[in-house]
Amino acid sequence: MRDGKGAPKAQSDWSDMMRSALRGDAAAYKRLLTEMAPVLRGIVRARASGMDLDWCEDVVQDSLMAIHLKRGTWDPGQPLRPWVYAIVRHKIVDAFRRKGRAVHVPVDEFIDQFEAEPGTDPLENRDAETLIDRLPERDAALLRCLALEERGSEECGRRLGLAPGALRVALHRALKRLAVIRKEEGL
Amino acid sequence: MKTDQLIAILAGDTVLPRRVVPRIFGFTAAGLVLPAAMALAILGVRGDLMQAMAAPVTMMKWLLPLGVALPAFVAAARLTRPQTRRVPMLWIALVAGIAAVTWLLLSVITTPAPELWPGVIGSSRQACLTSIISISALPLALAIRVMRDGASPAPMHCGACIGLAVGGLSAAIYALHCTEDAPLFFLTWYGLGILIVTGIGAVAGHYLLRW
Repeated sequence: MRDGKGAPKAQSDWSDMMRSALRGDAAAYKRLLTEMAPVLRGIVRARASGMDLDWCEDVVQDSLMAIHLKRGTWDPGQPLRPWVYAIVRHKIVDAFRRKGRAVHVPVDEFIDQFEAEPGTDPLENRDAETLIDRLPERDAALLRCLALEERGSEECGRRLGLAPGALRVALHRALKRLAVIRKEEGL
Repeated sequence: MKTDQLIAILAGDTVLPRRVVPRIFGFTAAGLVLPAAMALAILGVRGDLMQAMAAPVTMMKWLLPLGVALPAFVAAARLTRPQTRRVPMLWIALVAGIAAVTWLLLSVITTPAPELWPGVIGSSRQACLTSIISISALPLALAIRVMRDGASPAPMHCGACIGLAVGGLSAAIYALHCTEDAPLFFLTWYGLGILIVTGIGAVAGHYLLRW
């Protein structure tokens, strides 16, 4: 953000942002994930070797979910990027394995130059809605309200009869379940 | 769901994660207390514990299991981090394991044939195996549960390491009771008990620690 356009961002940036995020700074967290997405997309596409762009975007989303749910395994004393790359690598290997293809992904080759071209829009995932349908009804309604209809959490809470505290816990659980379903479904 | 939408809901999830590694140590230790206390209350502690801990041969009933367990414990914790690729700590466990196997082989070779089988069989092998495995059950289950929040690059290895750690700790606890001090006996059965718990950990890790 504060770097000039096109210049590689300083290594410490992401780590600082994640540290703020772990202290509860939601805005820094959203900025971090938003900055990460094109980098992850670039890495995945560079490794995809023949897989289509939908597949790539699914791996990017799997990686983002894992980064979110597993961020308690990051040691804040360490730089964030190697941890992120390890997660992406794991998700790429996993996605290939589900396609029945073994793949070797040397993590050392992950460097920032893989960032996807700006302007490439994330593709819409055809199966996302059916995946959300497989969640328990309340989880599905919550995610649909927040993500697909893009309503604010207050409105979704009101609609589903959830107090802010309850919505907070419900959302966290719904995301954990969604991660499990994505894994089982082998998208 | 578009990726931007996913990011928006991820950022909206304000439940902060808890650090995984400290909880592994905490939960395993806490899970060990009750089964250990129960086992020792039922079986009793050996009367000559102090002498046994000081004597070179019987001392190994604690040193070897702990020598395997403690490095394996650290290794298991490190293996919950996705970027972990090598765990040099495991060499220490391996050295302790090789020492135990070598010692067992030497004992087998130097024991006269007619005494070999009775020496291995001993008189308390069932209590030994049952105790080590049952002391392990709760701490292993708790550790695996916490480790499900981890992101292991090698789920089965990670599970095996925590099994090795918990099995070794349980063996060291059982040794507080066990008075069969022949290396032929304790190397065989402690070793087998620890390996069984390691195997359970590996299988559990394979199925439960994938992410």
